[in-house]
Amino acid sequence: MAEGSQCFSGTVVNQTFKRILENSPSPLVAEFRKLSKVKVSEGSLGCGSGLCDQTQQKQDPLRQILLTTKQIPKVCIDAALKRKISQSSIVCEANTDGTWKTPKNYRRLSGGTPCIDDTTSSYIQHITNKVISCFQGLPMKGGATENINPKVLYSKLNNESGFNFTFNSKGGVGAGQLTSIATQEMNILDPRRTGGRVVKGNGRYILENIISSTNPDCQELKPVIQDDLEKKRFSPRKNTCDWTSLETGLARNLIYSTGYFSHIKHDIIGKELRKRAPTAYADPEVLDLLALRAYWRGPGAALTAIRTMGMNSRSTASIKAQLKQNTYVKAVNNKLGEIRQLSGGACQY
Amino acid sequence: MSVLVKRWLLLAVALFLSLNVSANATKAKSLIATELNKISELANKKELTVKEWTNYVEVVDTKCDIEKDSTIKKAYCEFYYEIYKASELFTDFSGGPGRDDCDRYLFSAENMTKNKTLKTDLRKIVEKLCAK
Repeated sequence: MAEGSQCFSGTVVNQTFKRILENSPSPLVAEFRKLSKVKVSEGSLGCGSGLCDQTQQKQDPLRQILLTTKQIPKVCIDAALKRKISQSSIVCEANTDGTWKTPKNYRRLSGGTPCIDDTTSSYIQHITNKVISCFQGLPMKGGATENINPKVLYSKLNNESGFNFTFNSKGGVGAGQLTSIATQEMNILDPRRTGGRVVKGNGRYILENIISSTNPDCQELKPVIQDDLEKKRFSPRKNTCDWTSLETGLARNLIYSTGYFSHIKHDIIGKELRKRAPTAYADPEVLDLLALRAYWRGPGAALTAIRTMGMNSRSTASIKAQLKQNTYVKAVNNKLGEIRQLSGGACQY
Repeated sequence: MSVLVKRWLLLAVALFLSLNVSANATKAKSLIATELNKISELANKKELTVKEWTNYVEVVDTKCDIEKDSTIKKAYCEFYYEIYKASELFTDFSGGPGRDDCDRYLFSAENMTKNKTLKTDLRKIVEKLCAK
C-alpha cells in the first residue's frame, strides 16, 4: 500500500473518493453507506452486515461459503489495487444536481490521484459482487443462462485495470477497460454508421434482461442503465464520467464489460461450440477458457481453436489442458500469481 | 549409429520439417489470397444472390473442416471466421433479415477482420443483399 499503508494507490492528501462515499446521495453509494453503517460525522466508514470485516466473515461459515463460491473476496480486490499499472486516470465527482464537476485528468503514475483506500475497495467489491449476482441466471440467446464464474471475471478485471475504475486511455475506459466496439454492441451502434437511426447492438438484449429481471440484486443496478438507450450511449470516450465515476460509472462500466463478455461467451463462442463440439460445450470451463481467449485476442482466434483442436473428438480434460497452455491464459495466470504474492497468500485465485 | 550421425540426422529432420511448415505457410497465404480475390469478385458482381454468397461461405467452411495440413487448415478456419457473420445474417432469420439486423451483423462482421479490403467487400456484399 502507498502512503503510509492508508492508500492502495494514490495520495492520502487527496480524499475525493472518501468524500464521495461519505456524502454522495447517489443511490448505490447511499445503499453502500447504509449497509456498512457510515459514520458521517466521524468521517469514517464502519463495517456492518459483515461487508468489510474479514474476521466477521470468517466467523460466519455460510457467508464464507457464499463469498468463496459466488463472490469475489475483498482480499483479492485489495491485492489487485496494489498492482502498479501505468495508465492515465480521470477522476469525476457529481454536483448535487447530478451533473458532473469538471473532471480531473492525471498522467500515468501521477502522484496526485485520489486515495483508493480500504473503504473504496469495499465499495468496489460491493458493486462488483452485485453485478456478478445480478448476472447469475440471466437468460442468454439460444436458451442458455448465464453462470458467471467469479474467478474468471476477477482474472479479466484484474488483467484489464486491477479494478482501478479511473483508468482512461484510447485502449479502454474504466474498470472493464471498455472500448467503443463493446459499448456499441451492448447499447446502440454509432448513429454515424446507421444514418442517424437508433439500432440496438447485438448484446443490447442483455441490458434489457437486467432491466426486466426480478433478481433482487439487479434492482439497484437498473436505474444506472435504464436511460442508456434514450441517452444513446455508444462510446465510453464521450461523457467519460458516466463510465468512471464512483457514483454510477463503476457500476455501468462493470455491467457493460461483464455483459460484453457474456455476449462473446454465449452468443459467439457458445453458439459455435454447441454446433461443432456439443460435448465440449457441456463443460462450462471450456466455454470460459475460450471466452477469455476471445476477449483478449478477438473471437476469431477462439473460434478457430474449436475447429483446429478437434474439440468434437477429444476428451474435455485434454481440451482444457491444451487451452490452459495458451499464451494469454498463461499471462492471466501469471498475474494471478502476482496477486497471491501481493495478498500474502490470502487471495487464493 | 554414432552420436554425431544421430545429431546430423536429427538436424536434417528438423530442417526438413521446418522447410515443410514454411512451404505450407506460403501455400496457405496464396490460397487465402485466392479466396480474398473471389470475395472481391462477388462484392463487385452486379446480380449477386443470397444463395451464391452463402454457398461460397459454406465451401470455405468445408475447406476448414476437411483440410488435413494443420497450417492450411488454420488459415482456412481463420478466414472462415472473418467472413461467417456476413453469411449468418442470411441464415439466422427464417423470413430474411430486417434492416437493423443487417446493420448489427455488418458491425460484427467488420469487427471480425483487420483486413480493410475485406471489410469493404463484406460491406458491399451485405448492403447489396440487404437492399433486395
